[in-house]
Amino acid sequence: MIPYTSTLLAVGGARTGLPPVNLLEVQDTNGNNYFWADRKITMVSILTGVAEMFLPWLMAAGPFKFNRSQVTDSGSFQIQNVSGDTLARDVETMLRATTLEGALFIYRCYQADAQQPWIQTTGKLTLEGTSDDLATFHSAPLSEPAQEDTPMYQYCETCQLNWAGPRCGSTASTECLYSFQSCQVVERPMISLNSWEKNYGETIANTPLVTINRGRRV
Amino acid sequence: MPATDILNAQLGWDQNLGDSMNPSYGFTRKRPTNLLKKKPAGSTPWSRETENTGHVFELSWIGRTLACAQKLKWYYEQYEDGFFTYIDWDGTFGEKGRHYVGNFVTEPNLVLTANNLWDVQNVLFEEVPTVGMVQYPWDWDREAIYRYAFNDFGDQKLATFSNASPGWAPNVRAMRGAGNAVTVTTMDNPGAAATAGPPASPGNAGDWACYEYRGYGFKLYLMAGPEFGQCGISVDGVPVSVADWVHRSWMYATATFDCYAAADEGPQLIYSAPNMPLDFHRVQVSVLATKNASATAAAISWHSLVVMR
Repeated sequence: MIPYTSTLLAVGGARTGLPPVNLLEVQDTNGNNYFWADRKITMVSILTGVAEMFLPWLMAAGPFKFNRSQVTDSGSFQIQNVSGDTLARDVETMLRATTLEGALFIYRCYQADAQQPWIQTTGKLTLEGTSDDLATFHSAPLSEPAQEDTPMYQYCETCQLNWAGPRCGSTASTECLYSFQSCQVVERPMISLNSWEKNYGETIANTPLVTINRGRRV
Repeated sequence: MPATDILNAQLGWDQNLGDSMNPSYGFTRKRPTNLLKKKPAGSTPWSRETENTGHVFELSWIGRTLACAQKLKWYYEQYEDGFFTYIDWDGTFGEKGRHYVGNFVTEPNLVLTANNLWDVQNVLFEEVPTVGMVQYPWDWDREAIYRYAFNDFGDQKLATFSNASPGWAPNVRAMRGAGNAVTVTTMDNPGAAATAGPPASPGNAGDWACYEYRGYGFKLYLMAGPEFGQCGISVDGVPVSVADWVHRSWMYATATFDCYAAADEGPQLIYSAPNMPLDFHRVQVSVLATKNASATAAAISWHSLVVMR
């Protein structure tokens, strides 16, 4: 159940009225913000927290499919691709100068007089296609593990962390040898231990007992 | 501003043109269909205004000079992607005429019908919204409509936000002073106190009421009397800083509007912005919970919005 406020419900159900305004805020991967709507309107932006001028570039928003689960809500947006000059449309210029692929968006179906949204959804944009007069974007999931670059770690005796980096946390003045023995923050080494003493008490930690060949992988 | 280019700047014969640029009699004045309306079989209709478009004229010039016909073609070409002003001289009372900014959306077809006589028929002139005008619609007595806090069906149309109780609440009042049989439902802050009479509590600072409409400028009427306080006004999200149409002598020329009056004056014109282009507009009144030194309270009561169409 979406918790609509009394302000919104009071006017939204009236028999007569004006349509809600579609507000689309986009922050591209370079940090540029774009504010688009289907009418020129000044509204408080979620991205910036202050009133912004939304330009009437948005031709259509939706349909949206909301899943109410980990499955990503999906929908599409159509942006006018008419303005510009004979060499390049504005949207094309924008796509050339930066990238909207993966840009963060916040969409609101907004009741302007009540100053509250009926629908709000967030995601990333992916360019679906452009035509002579329209650029169509589709919403992509906010979290796409397959799209993420992850470091290639080796499971081995050599610590995989950067010395004194955030995950290491060492504040010592000299670099370690990336071994367990030389570790300066023993709670954190990212190391596979290669030998274990059997006769230790329960409160004693595992300790490697043989010399480590740092070039060898397990 | 292209609106200063007026197709038919004068009412009668144009000496320089040897003709008149006014269309021939018999043309249609109408509105485009921008009202989405659905009526269930056994209910009142539901409606939403879908666009901010305005008026449409289907104009003809019959038996005119080549100069007149060519001028029409020029206006079509020049303002195909822009706008100019057309004056409807006959559609208003008096000889002032009403201005419309827009362009020809259909091509004027020039037809030679006799020796140097040309017909240009059924050209559609369509208003362009959101652009400035030389002269904004001025006949508030006949062409403006009333928008109340509740529509004719009793649905709340004025969006209200309250951050304390009692907040905004409807109040049925006599339309034109006590004893008048015609009533209007105002929206009062603080609701319960204002309804009961002179409220002991002030208005709730930070509460607001906002009305959205399609049209040109507006006149805002709030209730005025001893128990009413001060408010701020925003138009399209921008706070009004200087009143351009000050009606009340005790109104400050600042962002504060005072609804105090020594006696109950009923609805009073608190603020108006007559020179606004055709568009969707929002008018917001913010309760300040401040008052005139002589006022008994700081209530605010929204009566109506008069909207030019």
